[in-house]
Amino acid sequence: MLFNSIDFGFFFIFVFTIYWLILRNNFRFQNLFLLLSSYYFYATWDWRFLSLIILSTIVDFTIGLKLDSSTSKLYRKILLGISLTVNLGILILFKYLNFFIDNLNGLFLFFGNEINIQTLAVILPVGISFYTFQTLSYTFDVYNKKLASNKDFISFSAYVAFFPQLVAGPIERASNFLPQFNTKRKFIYSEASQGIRQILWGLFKKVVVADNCAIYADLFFNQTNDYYGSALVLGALFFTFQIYGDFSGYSDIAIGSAKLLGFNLMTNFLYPYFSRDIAEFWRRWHISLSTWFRDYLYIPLGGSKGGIFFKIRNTFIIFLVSGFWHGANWTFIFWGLLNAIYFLPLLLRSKNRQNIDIVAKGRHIPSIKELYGIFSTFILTMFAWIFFRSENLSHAFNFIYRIFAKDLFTIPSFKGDINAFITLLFILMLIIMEWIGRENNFALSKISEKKYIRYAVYYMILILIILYPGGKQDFIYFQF
Amino acid sequence: MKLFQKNFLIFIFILSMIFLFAYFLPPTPKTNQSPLQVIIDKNNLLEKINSPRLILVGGSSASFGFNSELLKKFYKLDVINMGMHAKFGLKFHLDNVIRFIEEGDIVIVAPEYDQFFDKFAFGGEPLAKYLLDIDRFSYTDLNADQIFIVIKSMPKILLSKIFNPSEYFFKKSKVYSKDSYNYYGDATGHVNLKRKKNIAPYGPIKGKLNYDVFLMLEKFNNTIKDKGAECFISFPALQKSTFINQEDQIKQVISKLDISNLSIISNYEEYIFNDSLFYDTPYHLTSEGIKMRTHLLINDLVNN
Repeated sequence: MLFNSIDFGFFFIFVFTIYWLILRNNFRFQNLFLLLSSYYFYATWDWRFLSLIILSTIVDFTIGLKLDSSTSKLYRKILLGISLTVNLGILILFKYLNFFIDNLNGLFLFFGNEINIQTLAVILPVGISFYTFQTLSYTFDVYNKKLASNKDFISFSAYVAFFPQLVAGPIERASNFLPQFNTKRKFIYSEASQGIRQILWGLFKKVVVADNCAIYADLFFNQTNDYYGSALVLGALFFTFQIYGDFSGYSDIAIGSAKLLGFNLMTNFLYPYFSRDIAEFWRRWHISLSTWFRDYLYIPLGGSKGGIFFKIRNTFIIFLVSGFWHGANWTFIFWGLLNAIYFLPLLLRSKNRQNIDIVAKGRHIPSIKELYGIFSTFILTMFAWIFFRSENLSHAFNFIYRIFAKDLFTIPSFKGDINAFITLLFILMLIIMEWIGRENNFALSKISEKKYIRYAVYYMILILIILYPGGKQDFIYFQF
Repeated sequence: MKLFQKNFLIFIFILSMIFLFAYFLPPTPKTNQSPLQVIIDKNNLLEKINSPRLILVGGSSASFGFNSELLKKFYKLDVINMGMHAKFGLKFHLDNVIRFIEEGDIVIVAPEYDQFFDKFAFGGEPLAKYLLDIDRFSYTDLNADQIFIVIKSMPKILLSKIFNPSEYFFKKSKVYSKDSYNYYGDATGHVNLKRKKNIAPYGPIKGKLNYDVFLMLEKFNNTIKDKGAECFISFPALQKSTFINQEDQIKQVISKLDISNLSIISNYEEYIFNDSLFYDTPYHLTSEGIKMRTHLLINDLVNN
């Protein structure tokens, strides 16, 4: 059940109605209802993999209780080890094992020996990386005594399986999100209307921008050998906005839906393409994952403390692991590596925190320096996305080679170029709206004090969503 | 909560008024030029011409796939090509025809292979557009799937009438307009045009085989027999490179048809044509391809 489908619309209206009109006086019943709804939601993808979520839930719930009641350091470490083994074991089995086997086979073949270990015929369960990291965050928080273990199995299960963010995040931190399940939720008008606005904006980004960009990104990436120069640059540009519209659109819908149910999820995207350097980009892109890695990997490794060697080592580890988290393919690892290379000069010159506030705060127009920063960061990011989108590394290098081989400064010509132009107008609209709204959590958050202007904007966006959908496309991040 | 409900309802109310207004607007110039209009002409032929007739039923592979004049010369029967957009769905193709069938008619049904999978046979946006904008009242036998499709497509179709400039400012197509069909209902706008190069083949058909479609065909066949007419199943001409991608699914369809009570008159393998015989899609034939397919059908009918 995709967020951008009518099925989800009906499903959500049903859940919202029962949740607020019938169960509003008892948050435990609300939790139970949310849990059942979430399991149903997940089962519409593939009911067989519900067992993995339930297994992960039971293991971490039990380990949380045991961690809380134990004072022995060794025992606590063993418990943490069990949680890591089970959760990461499932993740490795379904997501990475075939990659390791393939590479092992390839490595032996390279040295002249054929070992031919058979790969497994497994399907990747949707959202596995997201809910695994969310349950792990609970175990880490309880282990680090930042959070007391949860005694209510239903509320814990609902926290793990909460449908708005189950399959593609934001990856919530237990210490922020879990307590919300253990208190009575109130329906707050302003929050709910913000939720609807955020859903509307998310749908625009996904259905109008991402799904239309996808048509041309697919064209240029699937038929790379038919194009050169500027056409391929355009393909990379379309993918750059496809992935942003797709993932941040999903996050907006998730956050908005959660708000309508009385929950606050963390912000996942904060205008990343307005970043002035790569460090800022990574503070604004997929924030829930970046901060997860920061809290549970980078800081335990020593963070930016210690000598230069440790700084470099930790930076590379975090970016490579982040790349690998996205998928079992060398393209993702290379994408992570490239970002580490971009980031390193800033870290070594201690300039990685020079751009904390949003660009041009309190002004309408950025300075030349800011504009240069935004543009150069955007180009670097777009270049890195080529690796992210390509089938394999040779495809990526071929794509880049063909960009520079010829026709870089000609007007691209391809099938459907008129519609591509319209898609560019949608991108422009996205950029303008986001620029205007960049000091808020999302673009539509505070568009105008005047009701009729607000409504006119809502209707305009809704009409665009209805008239210009780019064809049904799954969310890219579901595969992670 | 009450304020939220109130504002939400006001929002929906205004939106509904926009939809209602659009519903009562006349069809746009683009819709008036659309090939969907041809269905009314085709239905008029069914009403006007007396039996016995040879009636060809299918998606656009039928309208871009037969030379009805050739068939008429050979059989000395009036021919009506009822081929229409595949996304009307096979159910509509059959339901639309059945009400006009008379004793002595011969009906050839040649559905695209996609029609047998998932819910393709229940149509898509073209069906909704036809029912909302062109022929609102004569077709009422919709099942739940078709109603869902109409409801799902309705916002886009209605809002297009007000907000989509291309509904009013467009270049008339030589191939896809109501004037691109001959008297019999064959698509002829493309026959003197150069075929498109490198027609991308379709990938494997998505979804599972839908057994209800076979039941639907059997029911159609029985009703035809009850009316004293005859029904035969043939196959659409399909681009060879698409066939390679869809071979497994097509074989599933064939094996299920083979064990049905339907009269299959064609061998599907003979209808897999070289890519060069297709005009712009893996189902739309060039004039040369049309001739080949028509002769194949003539042979099939003679042999059966």
